[in-house]
Amino acid sequence: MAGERLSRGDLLLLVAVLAVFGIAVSGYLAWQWYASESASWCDLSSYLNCTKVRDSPWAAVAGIPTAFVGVGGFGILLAFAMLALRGTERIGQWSVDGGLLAFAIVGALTGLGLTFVEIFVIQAICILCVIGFALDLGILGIAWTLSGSVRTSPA
Amino acid sequence: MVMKKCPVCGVSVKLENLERHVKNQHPRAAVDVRSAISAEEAREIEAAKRPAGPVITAKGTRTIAIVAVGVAAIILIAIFNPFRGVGPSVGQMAPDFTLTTSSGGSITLSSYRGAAPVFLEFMDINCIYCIQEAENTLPALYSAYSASAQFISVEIKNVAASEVESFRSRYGTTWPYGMDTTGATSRAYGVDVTPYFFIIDRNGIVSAVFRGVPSGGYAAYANALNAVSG
Repeated sequence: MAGERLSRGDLLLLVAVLAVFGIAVSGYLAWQWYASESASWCDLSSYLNCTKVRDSPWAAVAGIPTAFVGVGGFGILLAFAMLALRGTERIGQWSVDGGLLAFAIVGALTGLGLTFVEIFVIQAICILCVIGFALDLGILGIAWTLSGSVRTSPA
Repeated sequence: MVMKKCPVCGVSVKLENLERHVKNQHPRAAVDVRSAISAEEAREIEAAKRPAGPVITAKGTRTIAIVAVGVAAIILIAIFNPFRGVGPSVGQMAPDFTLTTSSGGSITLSSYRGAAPVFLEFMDINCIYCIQEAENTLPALYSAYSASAQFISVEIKNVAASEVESFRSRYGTTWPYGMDTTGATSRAYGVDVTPYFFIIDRNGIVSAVFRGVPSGGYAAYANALNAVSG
């Protein structure tokens, strides 16, 4: 029916799909940091330039690419979505929806911080990093909707 | 809903409730209920006990498929960038240019046509890989081939000529550095990353292209220069 809203299952599956894309993008960026000798393939211009961001001191902490944070973060979000899709509602005293929302907020704040660093410190934008941030915002929006629907749903 | 007869009293009981029924109704009966249940029935019991997952609708599946295709397209465009400028390929004429050099002179590519092959580098003095090449590889290459080839570097960013001169003296890269302040030359060569190298034969034809530092390092440049220096 037109205008029919997506079900809880649809939204959770959408979170899982977005998280898989997030892992792929973060994984690609981590691989770029390790493997590429010079040019990155996502250099659209001198400002939209993954190479410039990758070569900055912000691209790694203690020799570990920052992109691994994205791989881990999206992995956690994927795990929460898969648990919820299997019908699990709680992990110990924590609700799965609450965990999904909490990690989506942490991921979005991390992405926001790194985007500010790109704009104001490195002065170049890594478009794949921005795509990763957008994926996290999308997951945050869905997680927010899911937690709201639980709060307002009849007992 | 699968029903099964109780092995003690013969009453039909839901399969998943059979074990509990025997335990509660016939606590003294020496019956091993599990042995009376087949493997397939055991799987059905497990499935019935598992909490039901949320429903995924057909509309949701379609929506998710559309979103997935859209996101995948955006990521692939960002990675492979089909809108990237296209420079000359091997076998094509190298676009001519005239640039002011960092030392205040002028350099024109076509002036070397018929005279010498050209080793052309597009670079940026702040690019870490350009610095590494200037530090480790290019001066040695210049020493070996400066008698048979013309070396030209082009700074693709709009930096001060004095900074490029400092770079040259710091790394001993004494050949001319053209200043592509408008970006027109970089665009003509499809330069999207630095360093980017073109080996041009004495007829002005591109003989080799290296996008980024070649994996073969010095040998890759030397082989390409040997091929046009004969």
